[in-house]
Amino acid sequence: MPTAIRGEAASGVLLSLWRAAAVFRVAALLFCGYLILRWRDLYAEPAVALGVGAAMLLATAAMVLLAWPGRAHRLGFVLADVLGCAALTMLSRLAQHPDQYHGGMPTLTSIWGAGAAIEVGLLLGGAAGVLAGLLQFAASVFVREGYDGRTLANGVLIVLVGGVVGYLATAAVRAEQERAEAAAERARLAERDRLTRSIHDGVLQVLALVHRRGAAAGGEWADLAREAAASEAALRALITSRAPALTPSGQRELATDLVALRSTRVTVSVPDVPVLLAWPVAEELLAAVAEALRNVERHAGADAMAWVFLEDLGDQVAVTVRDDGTGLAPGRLDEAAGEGRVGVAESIRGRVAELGGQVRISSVPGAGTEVEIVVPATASKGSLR
Amino acid sequence: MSDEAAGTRVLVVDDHPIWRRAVERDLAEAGFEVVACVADGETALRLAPATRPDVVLMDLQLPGITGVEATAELVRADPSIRVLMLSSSGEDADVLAAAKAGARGYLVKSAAAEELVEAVRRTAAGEAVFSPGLAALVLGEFRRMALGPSDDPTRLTERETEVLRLVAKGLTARQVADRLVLSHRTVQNHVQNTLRKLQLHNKVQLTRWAIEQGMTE
Repeated sequence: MPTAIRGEAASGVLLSLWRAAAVFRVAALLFCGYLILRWRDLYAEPAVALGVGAAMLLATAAMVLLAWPGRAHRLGFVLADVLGCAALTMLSRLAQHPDQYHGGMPTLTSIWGAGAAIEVGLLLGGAAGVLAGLLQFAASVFVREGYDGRTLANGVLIVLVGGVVGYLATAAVRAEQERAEAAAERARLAERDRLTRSIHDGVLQVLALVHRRGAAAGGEWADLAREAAASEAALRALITSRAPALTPSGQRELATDLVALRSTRVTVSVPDVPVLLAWPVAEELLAAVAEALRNVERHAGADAMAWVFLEDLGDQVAVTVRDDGTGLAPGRLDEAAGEGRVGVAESIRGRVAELGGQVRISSVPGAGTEVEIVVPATASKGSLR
Repeated sequence: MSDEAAGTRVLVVDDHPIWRRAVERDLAEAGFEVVACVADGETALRLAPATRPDVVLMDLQLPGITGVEATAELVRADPSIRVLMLSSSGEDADVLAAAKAGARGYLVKSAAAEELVEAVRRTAAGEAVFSPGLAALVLGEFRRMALGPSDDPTRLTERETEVLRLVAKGLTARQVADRLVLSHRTVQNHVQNTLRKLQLHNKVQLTRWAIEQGMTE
């Protein structure tokens, strides 16, 4: 269907089509009016014929006045036009002699009747346009009590016009929407680019500088330096743009998600090529990494730094979370599990085992902990429920 | 440190004036000879032959020609020049491109002043300054290249891969040496070799491409 929202004024390509339909209506009226005036003395009831002509004139005027500002694109008007058009066509039977309507004289509305089918096509799409054309055809069949070749040809033309105009209107409106969306997306990316550049050239440099100078000055300045460093890292994580990878549906690019974890405490290192995993696998893996980082925050000590390293090994994907914190005494992981605390052992091992992967946790008291998670790159369908 | 730094000529390329002054001061205080501070790549290329820097401190984001292009051109004109890349946000693709073009090391701008001075000192001494991020990028690049023929001399040895992995996990060169029971010097050689192979591979690729295009010499 051409538009999703009814009752709103038509705009853009749809408005142009409505104006074109109005022009067609006027041209068709001139043709039909000419025939009615020329043959007015031949009709059985000239008054009826002239009355129908006057009604067509009024209907056309109304249509043009409504269509030009885009206000004809509404169900009430189009429905009234379709029914009125069929009624005026059927009045031919009162106006003409039987040998006229049986003998091939065009109905009073003839080509003008196609206008209604066009309007339905514009409003409701091709299928509805075909139906409106058929209604108009039925009205002329009623007038002639049958159809000869000429009636049939006219009917087919009207049906086709309704269908084709409807189809084209739908396609044109869709193309217009897609173009508008593409333009909006381009504008969004350009704006993001602009912001990134200005943040990059200005704020980020100053923050980095405050960080460096402040740290050297010590005291209160060192606190300020730490704040600046945190803001710098947050901003940098925000604007770091990896070219959006073309991700096949059902897959997720891990590097982009991991890079978002960067902070003053967390260094994230990833390859420059996209690392793709099936969506649920990536989801679980990221959750395991988040769990490992939470663990660093909780147990590794206040000054601990963490490094996240993503490596694509071909048939496997490895993520390592290392910290330089206090480390764990041998057996503490098992203890935690034994006490029923959902810690590293439960949560990470559980998640990764379900993916058919492995977790290696090594820790030296005083020298930090390293959690290495390896999952098969093909851990897509089978291993997950 | 000042003794080692003395006589080391440094060219600073950065479009941010406050940053440029700060870096110049840090380096001068550490005893380096800052031969010029310029705001763009074109000026750097023009001044390099006359100022003959040992180390170029290159911001990757520059107005005009990019830091990557400037690096490639500097190294082409003088293969002995040592470019240390700096960037304030992790533009992974740029860092990798500059490494392939011949840069000798990479440091994030958020590094502390001492780290910067130390990195310049090490670069001047011929060492490769690696961040975990650069190590991961280089590993990823070698993985991508490994799709080619297996007798390629530009492939990483197992030891080199192992060293890079540890660097990517945030270990310092000293920690890597301890972990693998190697000397600091050996670890340094491995790291330098990976960068050298990356640049060699890049050259081989360019040459191959040139031959295919019928544009040799």
